[in-house]
Amino acid sequence: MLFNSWTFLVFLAVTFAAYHFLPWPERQRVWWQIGLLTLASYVFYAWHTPWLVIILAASTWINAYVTLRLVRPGTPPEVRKKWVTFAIMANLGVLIFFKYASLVVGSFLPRSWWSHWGFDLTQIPLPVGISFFTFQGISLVVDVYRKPEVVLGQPEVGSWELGVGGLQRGERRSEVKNIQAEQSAISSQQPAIEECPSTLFFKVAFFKAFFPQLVAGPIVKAHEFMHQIGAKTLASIDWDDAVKKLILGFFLKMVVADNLREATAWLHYPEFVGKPAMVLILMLYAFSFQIFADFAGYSLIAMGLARLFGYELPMNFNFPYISQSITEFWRRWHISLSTWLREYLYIPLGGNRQGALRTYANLILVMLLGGLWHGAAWSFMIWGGAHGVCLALERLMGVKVEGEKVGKWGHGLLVAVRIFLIFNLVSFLWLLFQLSDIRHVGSYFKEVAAFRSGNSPQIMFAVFFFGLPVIIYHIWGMIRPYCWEGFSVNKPRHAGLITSGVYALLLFLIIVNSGSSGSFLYFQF
Amino acid sequence: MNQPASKGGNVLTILIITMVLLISYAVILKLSGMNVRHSESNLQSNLIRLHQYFFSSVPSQGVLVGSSIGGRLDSQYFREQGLNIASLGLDGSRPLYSLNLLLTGSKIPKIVIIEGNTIFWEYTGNDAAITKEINSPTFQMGSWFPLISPDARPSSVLFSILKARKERHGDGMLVEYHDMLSDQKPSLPKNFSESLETIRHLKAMGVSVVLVTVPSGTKESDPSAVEFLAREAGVPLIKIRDHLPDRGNGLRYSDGMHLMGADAREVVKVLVQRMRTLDLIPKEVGIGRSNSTNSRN
Repeated sequence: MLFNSWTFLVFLAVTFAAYHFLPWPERQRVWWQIGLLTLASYVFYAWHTPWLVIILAASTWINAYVTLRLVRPGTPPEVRKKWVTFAIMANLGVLIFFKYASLVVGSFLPRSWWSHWGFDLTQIPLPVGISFFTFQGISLVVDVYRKPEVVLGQPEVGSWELGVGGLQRGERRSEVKNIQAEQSAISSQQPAIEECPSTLFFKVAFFKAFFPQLVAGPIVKAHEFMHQIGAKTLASIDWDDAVKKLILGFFLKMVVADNLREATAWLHYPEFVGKPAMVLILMLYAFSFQIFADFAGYSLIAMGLARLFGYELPMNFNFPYISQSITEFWRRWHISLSTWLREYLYIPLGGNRQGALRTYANLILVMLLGGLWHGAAWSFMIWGGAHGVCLALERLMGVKVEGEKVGKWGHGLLVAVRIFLIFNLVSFLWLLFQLSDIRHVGSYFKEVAAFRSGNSPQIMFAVFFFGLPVIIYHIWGMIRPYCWEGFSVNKPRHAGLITSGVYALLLFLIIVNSGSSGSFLYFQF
Repeated sequence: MNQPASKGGNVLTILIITMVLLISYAVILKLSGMNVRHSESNLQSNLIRLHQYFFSSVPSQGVLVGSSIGGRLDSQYFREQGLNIASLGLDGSRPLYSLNLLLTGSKIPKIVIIEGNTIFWEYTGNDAAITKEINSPTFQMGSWFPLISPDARPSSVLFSILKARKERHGDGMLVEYHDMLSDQKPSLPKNFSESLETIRHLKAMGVSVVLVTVPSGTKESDPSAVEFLAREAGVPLIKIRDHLPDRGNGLRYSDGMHLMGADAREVVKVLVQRMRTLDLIPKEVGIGRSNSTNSRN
């Protein structure tokens, strides 16, 4: 079911009404509510392809069972380690089978080896959202292994919030060491927790299936979510925040991304052949804007929806196109993935604690796998590898991530140049998302190099008209620190009205200027 | 863990301002009386034309079907010639798709003018996108709430204004007729039979059918196949170039393919004159006499 569909609107209205207005028994309200949301989430997931719920249910059962084993009092550390290893392998096994079997088989195994098995291994269907909920499963078992109390609803403390690119030489090392020490100390302890199996199962099923984030994230970690599970009332809803996130999210998706899709449809081979150079470059920028608007829009909608049910999902985007380095980009883009990779892959691999060479290798390896997470194609691996190499080079060159604020004008100009360069580098690498065949990427550049003159009024208009909101949004991201500072000292009398006016304008445009509805780009990952 | 309760005051303000914006925009559109026919994407342009055809308060008794080449022969130019003919030349699409749309709908016109240039084009991805959109609730709801109809989109309004301005001030491109003759060997196109059957079906329903080749800046498909189709189907074929001075060598094209507005108006004039000479125009198609719809049932 798509967030931007009429069916979903009805589904949401019914679920919301039942969740908040049915006279649930007060003492069991939490269980009725999460039971209802879990059921609704399964309906949401099964809407177009009902058999998919079998995979989700199986994945939930495995993770819940292992979680139970991990929190059972008296379980020896070595047994706990075996269970967590089993759960990680099981989660990865499901992901690898459905997502990568076709790539591996198609690339490495001759057809004659497996063609007599009765089914085509290169045609295994990809269940939507599998990359997201398997990563959540891994997060759950690892978090429970490290900190069993997270499943009992105790709020998480401490900072686990840095992205892969967020590890800076020296300055974060002590922090990483602290986290590592804390994790190893905790995981070696005996769990002193007793949880009723059925309630634990309920919690895990809800955590895995919660529909706002089920199919395209943000990738919610157990330690960020489990402690929020509880009885919710209408009074617990932050309406202003929820509505603003929903409006901005739907605007980015329905007005910006869906309309830009019409222009970027030409950014496929052979459609782009013969286009003027200027149009080709604009289409690449348009795709950059589109992929941001599509995914950031989805994340904001997910956050707004979760708010309506009293839950808070982690922020996934923080003005990524104002990044001055690739390191900073990964602190701002798909934050839930970059923090996941950091917590569950980069740090366990040794992070930056085992010398410079090992750190570079870790960065490249993590980004290679991060690229492969996006899809079973070599182009994604190259994309991830390229980002990894950039991260390693920046670390080698000692590139520091600048603070949010910009000082003198000369410095401001330098910042603008850096932002422009990083945006172009990131956009260039997005080509690998749009053109999965490397030869087509080559053709694209050949066409650009031909320097054909001319224009395409429709494409140019679409890029300017629908790209402009993304540019304005990011400019707002740059000047925001100054504005907030100014507001706090001398808040304009009508600041609230101006903000409401901006959101009203976005809502107006959603109503009158939406594009043709399409699925979200990240559903394919 | 419950969040502290929050005021929802901003939500109400947002909704009120949105209502004010919607009403203001509706008033501006109404007062300006703009006739939006173009959009920034092929799909939206097509939806505008289809929406205006399906939900017009004055139903058209005649339709021109085709691709973007025929789409340049705007309904407005036909109205200037005293005919209520809707132009369903769809960008990136083909005549057979529009014809199938007409046949599956309940509104059957008295006359169908088929753009012969692209009659043998095969299925395009755009056809599926159009079908998906016109079956969506939003497209249907546009007939009740004009603000959400495709021709009310601010981007389409702005694009139409800019396009009209460019056509007024632009020179366009000249393309020599000799450059456009096809070097293909005559052969029967793959969907010849489908085209023939569709035309015969229309005729059986009492619809007048006219095949037309519209001047365009691109290579034309094998003309003998279109002539053969017209003969087999028993419908007239009007080659507009034959009735233009210098075979239309003075025509200008905005992008080397599509006629500029002024020249498209001239082409429509020649087409209508020719149709009148051949007595092909049913009386219901004249403006002021076209208020009854013809249904298959």
